[in-house]
Amino acid sequence: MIKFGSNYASKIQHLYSNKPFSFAIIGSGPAGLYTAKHLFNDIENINIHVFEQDICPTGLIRYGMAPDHQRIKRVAEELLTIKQYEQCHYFGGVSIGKDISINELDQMYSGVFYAFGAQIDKPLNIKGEQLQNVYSARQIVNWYNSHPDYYDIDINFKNKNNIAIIGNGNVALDIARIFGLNQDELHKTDINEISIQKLKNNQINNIIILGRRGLVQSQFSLKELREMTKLSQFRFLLYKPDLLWSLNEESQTECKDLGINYGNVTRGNRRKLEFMKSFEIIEDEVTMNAILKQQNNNGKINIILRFLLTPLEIEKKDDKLNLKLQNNQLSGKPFNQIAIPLNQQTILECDMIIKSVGYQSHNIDNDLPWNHEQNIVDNSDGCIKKDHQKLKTGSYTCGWIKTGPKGVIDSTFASSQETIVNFKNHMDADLIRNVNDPYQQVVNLLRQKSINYIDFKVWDRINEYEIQQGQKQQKPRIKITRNKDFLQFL
Amino acid sequence: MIRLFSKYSASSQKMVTFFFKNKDNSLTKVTAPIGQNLLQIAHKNEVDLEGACEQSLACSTCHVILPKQLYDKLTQPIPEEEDLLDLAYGLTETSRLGCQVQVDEKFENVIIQLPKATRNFYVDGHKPKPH
Repeated sequence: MIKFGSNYASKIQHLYSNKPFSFAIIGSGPAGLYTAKHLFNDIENINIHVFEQDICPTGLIRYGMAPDHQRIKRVAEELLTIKQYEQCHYFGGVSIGKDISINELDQMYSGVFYAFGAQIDKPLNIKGEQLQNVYSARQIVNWYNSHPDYYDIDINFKNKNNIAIIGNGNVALDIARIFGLNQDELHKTDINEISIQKLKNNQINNIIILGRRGLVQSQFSLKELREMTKLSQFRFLLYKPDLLWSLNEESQTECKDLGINYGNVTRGNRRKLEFMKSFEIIEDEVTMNAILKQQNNNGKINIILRFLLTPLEIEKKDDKLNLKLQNNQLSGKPFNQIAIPLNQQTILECDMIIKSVGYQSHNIDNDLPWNHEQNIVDNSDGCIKKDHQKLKTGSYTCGWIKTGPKGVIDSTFASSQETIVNFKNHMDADLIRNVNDPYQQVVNLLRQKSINYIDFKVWDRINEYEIQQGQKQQKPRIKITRNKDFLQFL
Repeated sequence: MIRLFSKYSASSQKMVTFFFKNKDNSLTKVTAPIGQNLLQIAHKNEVDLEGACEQSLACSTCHVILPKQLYDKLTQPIPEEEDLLDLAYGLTETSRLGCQVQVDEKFENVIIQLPKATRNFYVDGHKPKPH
């Protein structure tokens, strides 16, 4: 086991003798499990119950991370080593706010850590969002990751030559990459067979990825970009007019080495810009239209990165979709540039549109203090605030629900650690009450309400089964897709 | 046969002793065979360094900070490592990923610092102080 710090465990044990503490963790994604793991490492004599709305644990590791990134998914095993503790219980398939209220949690536990992430898509709020062949990134990502609520969404790649992705974060690149994997590459993933059949025969020629601001302000990381350029089927293209507008003086400043006050932001910008200079350039509109119209691309997929475009409206036109876009220019000081509309619009004709402008959290219980501006739990460095000011001692938050849905697993770990440090200060100040393990109470409560849930033992059987089924076909695992199929493991 | 592989046997294995400076500023003294990487050594010695991606260069959770003198003597990181350092929390000019740095004699007595869980100084949309 990896230990946090050196003497903390003994210190806390010494201060609080042998009286137990009991904590609930809401959400079993990276933030929740990381917190559980570190609480066990740091504090003696505690009970931890992890509640998860999905049946399976690990949240975005299972249902968000790309299915061709299997090695990083193995972080789940390390986080799930909390199973070894008898005092750790998992309640999979239980919705806090619906099945158990947060007032009930407050009564049963010494403290609660909210780590339920960002459950919905940020809406675009444009006309035509609901049309056929328009999807949200969450639908697509959950579809190819076999989430029980999404594995059977109606998606069809027949005659889909041009796909527009609105938003240019890492999720947009993940989707573009998965759509372009060849048969061998698909087979090595844990994408289910029905989805693989749909993906492998697709007829995609162009994927156009659209950003509201300029190239320097694009959200994807160079790591994702570089990985994708190593796959020979992808050809990356930039559009010359976009570059001219993108690389204004302010944006160039955002790439300069401005010292440590700017963290690694300028460094990241600089290296990304440098890398993208090797991409092919589409000179003008005529060339662009020719590329978008070509019927056959010899098995290659063009990834066209476009900038300074805001979606206005989607219209259906015969079998196609017309995406109406507002052309923008940048305005403002370096690092605070915003997109302001130009008196010019662009129509992009395409066959499928994916909205990938980010995730958003929504509250699960009206009694949970909420920051409506940022759509996060109202908190100060992970400590939840009552009535926007006083700390609600014993209530904490970590991960995306604390910070907003930004950043990779590293930042989730770091932000969870900050919460743990602040929580331990409350422990030291004797602000956390002792509570005996409420396990039986929770079980009775769920039984009363006739709520089925799975525990770690059942999860182990599911996990083993999925891996075994996968091994038969040289795949990392074959996921169970239907909720009712999980029940046979109970 | 045994003699053939003698350079891998424990007795003749060259060791190096150095320190990890933990997040709470305590020091952990470690002795490890030359050739192992910092992440492996940290794990063996219960130093709190995550290694989320199993050394597949997919995350930066094993970010460590080296003394400048040592950093300068090592081979430059490959671009893929640099890409991940771009995303690392609390990046410094002598930051590396623990999984990519193999120890040798140069590590004798050095202190390897674990980054503190501070937020990035600059987050898009915030106004940093003029430089």
